[in-house]
Amino acid sequence: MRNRVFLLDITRCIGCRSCELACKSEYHLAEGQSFRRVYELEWLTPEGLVVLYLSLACNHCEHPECFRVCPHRTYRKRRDGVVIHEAGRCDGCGRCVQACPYKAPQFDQERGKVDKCHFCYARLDAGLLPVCVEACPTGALNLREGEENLADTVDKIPGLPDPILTGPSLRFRLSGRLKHLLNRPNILGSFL
Amino acid sequence: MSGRISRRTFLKGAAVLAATSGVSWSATKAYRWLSPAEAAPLAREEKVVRTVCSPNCWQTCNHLVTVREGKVVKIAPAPMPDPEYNRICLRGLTHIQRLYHPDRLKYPMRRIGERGEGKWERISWDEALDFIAGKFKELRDKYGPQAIAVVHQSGNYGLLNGGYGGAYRFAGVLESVLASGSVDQAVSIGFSSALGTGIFDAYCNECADWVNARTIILWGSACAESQINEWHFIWEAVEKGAHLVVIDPIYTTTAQKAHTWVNLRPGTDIAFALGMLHVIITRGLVDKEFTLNKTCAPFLVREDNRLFLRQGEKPLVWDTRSGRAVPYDTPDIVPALEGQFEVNGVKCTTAFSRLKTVVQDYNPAKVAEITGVSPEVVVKVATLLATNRPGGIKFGFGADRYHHADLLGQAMITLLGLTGNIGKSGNILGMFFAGFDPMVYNVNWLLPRGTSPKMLPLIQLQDTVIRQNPYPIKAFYITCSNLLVQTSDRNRWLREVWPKLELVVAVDQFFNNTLNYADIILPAAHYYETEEIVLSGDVPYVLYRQKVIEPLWEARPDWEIYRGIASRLGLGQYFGSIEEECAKWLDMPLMRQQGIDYQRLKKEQAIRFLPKPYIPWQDGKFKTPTGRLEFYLEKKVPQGEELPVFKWPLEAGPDSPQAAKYPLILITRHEKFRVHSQYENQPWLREINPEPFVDLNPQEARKRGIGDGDLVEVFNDRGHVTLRCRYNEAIPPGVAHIQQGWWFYRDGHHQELTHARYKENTLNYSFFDVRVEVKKV
Ligand code: SF4
Ligand code: SF4
Ligand code: SF4
Repeated sequence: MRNRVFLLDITRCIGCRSCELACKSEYHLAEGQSFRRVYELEWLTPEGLVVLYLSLACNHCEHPECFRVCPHRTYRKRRDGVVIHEAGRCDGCGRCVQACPYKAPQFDQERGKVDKCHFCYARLDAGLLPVCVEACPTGALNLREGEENLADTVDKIPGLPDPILTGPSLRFRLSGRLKHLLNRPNILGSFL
Repeated sequence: MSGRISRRTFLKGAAVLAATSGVSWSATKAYRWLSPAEAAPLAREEKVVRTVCSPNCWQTCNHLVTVREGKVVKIAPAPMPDPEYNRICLRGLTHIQRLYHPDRLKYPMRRIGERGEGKWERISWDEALDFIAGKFKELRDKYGPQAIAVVHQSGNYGLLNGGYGGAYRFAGVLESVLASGSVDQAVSIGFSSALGTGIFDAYCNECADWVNARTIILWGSACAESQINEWHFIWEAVEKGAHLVVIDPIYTTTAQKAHTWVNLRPGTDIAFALGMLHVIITRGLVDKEFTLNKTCAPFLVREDNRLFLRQGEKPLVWDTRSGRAVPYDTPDIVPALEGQFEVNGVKCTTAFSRLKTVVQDYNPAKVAEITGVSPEVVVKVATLLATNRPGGIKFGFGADRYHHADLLGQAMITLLGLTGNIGKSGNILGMFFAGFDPMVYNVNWLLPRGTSPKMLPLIQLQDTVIRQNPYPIKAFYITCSNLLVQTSDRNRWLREVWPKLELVVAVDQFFNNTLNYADIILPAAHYYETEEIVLSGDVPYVLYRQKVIEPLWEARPDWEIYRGIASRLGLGQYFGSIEEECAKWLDMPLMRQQGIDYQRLKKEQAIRFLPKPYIPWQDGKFKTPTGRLEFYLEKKVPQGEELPVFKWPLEAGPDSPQAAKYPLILITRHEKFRVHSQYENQPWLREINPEPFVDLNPQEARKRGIGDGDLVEVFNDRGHVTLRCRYNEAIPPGVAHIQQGWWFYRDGHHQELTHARYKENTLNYSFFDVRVEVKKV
């Protein structure tokens, strides 16, 4: 069912955070809440410090941990793979916040509830791209559909949880010297 | 604390206001001014309006703005006629917060305490305009019209409300001084002189054509941060195999993307360019065909006065066929590229030979000594530009901020000329800028019926006011400018200039550390609250800005404010309706030929006015008197700068008398979180960029006993600023870096550290040509 993935071209991404701001602006998120976040990975090279940017949101996992741990059945997974958090049922216990390896669900102090990225499902249903993808000025953030179209992508990045855990709908493209990253798994440690 | 200072100053002002006028703003102070939107919009009254965002990132993005029940709730990129120009950025996506920001200026206000004290009272628009017009009249009667200076910068590209349209008209009609420019122009002055164009003309291939480049040199440009929407063109070229060179002392996000990063010492760019010229000339990499036929290279230069040898107006060349000097445009000649000649007893050599002499000392080894870059890199970059064609140089304004930056511009255009990288698809000539070209610069509109302001380069405004010469300036009208944050030597403004001013009017949206020193404050309308034509930046369109919502509170568009003041002085006829004025502006040959009028523009909103693709100079004819690329500038013979020569900058060089006392060069560059000082107080942007830091290489910080995050003072003889230090390995030793555009600091300001010394022929701010020291507090 994992037929739609977020595809981040790490070589293209410039860390401008337009994706993050597009989401905040679209959903009027409160201070401290960002359903999509751009993480900075530092990588010391002979030239100096290279900063790589990883734009991450909820990965609409095949085996969502959030779903598994929530005592109130707040989470549901649509047929197309989108994992939705029904804020109405949420009592803010925060178990999902702890359980998700990607820190996707975030606690909203004001409302006393958790919330997270829902893949802009209303837009998807209307044939539109998620706002983060639409706003990305470099084309680094994209959607890809269909397992067969993932040949040029990788699912592992050092520092990210092993995809075997939850089966995230998330792929990466790296080119040039950044490919070396894949062979140097210890260099970054975990950043999430 | 830093960001809070602005808030506190403002709150203090607000409290006084409440006490004096009985108006309380507390109701608007709630932080959660928006409730989270629903995932799916409910069926409520909703419309989508297409408009334009236009600060000085020059990207002039078109936005689709959703208005629900009268309130802006959503912003998205609008589809452009050419989809590669669809664009938006993190800053533009925060306009909801900017519109409804609790700190937004809501009413005209009059200062009631001392300047800078923060005590204000609310006044009505009529009171404000009456007062300003009355004071203007009094000053004009007493000292003449040049007692008033309209001061503007680049805060808005709107025709009526922006710094380059309405402000000209207003100053022209008043016959006042118009103080502007002096920023971002030195490199371009050197560069464009050879082309015979103005500094912001459309002399470059449009960005969409850059994808065809094979070699791209970004010179002092952090394009991936400062011009986010140009990046994808560069990256597409790279994905197609182009080699990307970034020349920057700082290992920026942009530099990190490069194949070749040239990490030269700050201020040594000209030496690097001369080294490239040396390599290109000595290794026979010159495009002979282009150099001989399209540039001034074969022109004979007299040894006695270093001017061109002429017959009448025409420079002469040495025809190798007939063995005599003939006008350069004589048919069927084979001019000599180099050599010594004697014509009627006058010793001559060619412009090319002179260039060869100038650069002969700058071999890669010598350049390595000056710049700190290895000789191989000099050879590599030069060879790439000359052989891996088409290519180009995109300059940002990093290298522009040193005293002799015009010489760098001269060197850049010489490099492009000698390598034949002009007039072809895939060439990049400095910067693509479409909106200020003479073909769309309607001077009759700007300055109707012979009205004319006295133009004053902004960098000379301080001296002019202090000396009251050449103009007896007694009043400032500041618009589209955060003057005290975006120009240098802040202490001099406040200590020596301000006391001479009887009136300071400032028009803006927030208390931005200039307004707090004004006497009268006028709340300006936001981009979305105005209707007008927008001058394009780096897109080939003429743009229409539609009004999305009515101005909030009592904000007014600049154009209406001009009209309000002018009509009180009997000059109201110059400020017609939006419809009328926009239609008149479009009434110029280029637009008429293409059938572009205001009705059509209102309908289509973005209309291409340049051919597709736009590639200038394809015919090899330049706008110089000879039609050649005149990289040899006769007008600079008196300074010995007719050809690019290397000179250390004023302060940043190792030879500076300041060097021992102030070992660090201060670089205040643009980052992605603001456009100059706009968006500084946007909560969403502050979340990801909460406070100012001085970035130091850990090595420099440790030498001074400074820890990561420690509070430090950056200082020199001119002033100081207090802020936290951040360890940053991307900054080379010997450099201190602060993001430009911060409004407030705990104490002092980074613009106290900068100076307003300028080179006569560029009149440009040298913001990075500054030395400082840092100490822990
Ligand atoms: S990323 Fe986290 S919140 Fe999203 S589906 Fe996976 S486990 Fe759940
Ligand atoms: S908008 Fe695109 S380029 Fe910018 S940070 Fe997000 S993914 Fe990267
Ligand atoms: S700030 Fe500049 S780049 Fe960003 S949306 Fe506005 S015009 Fe575009």
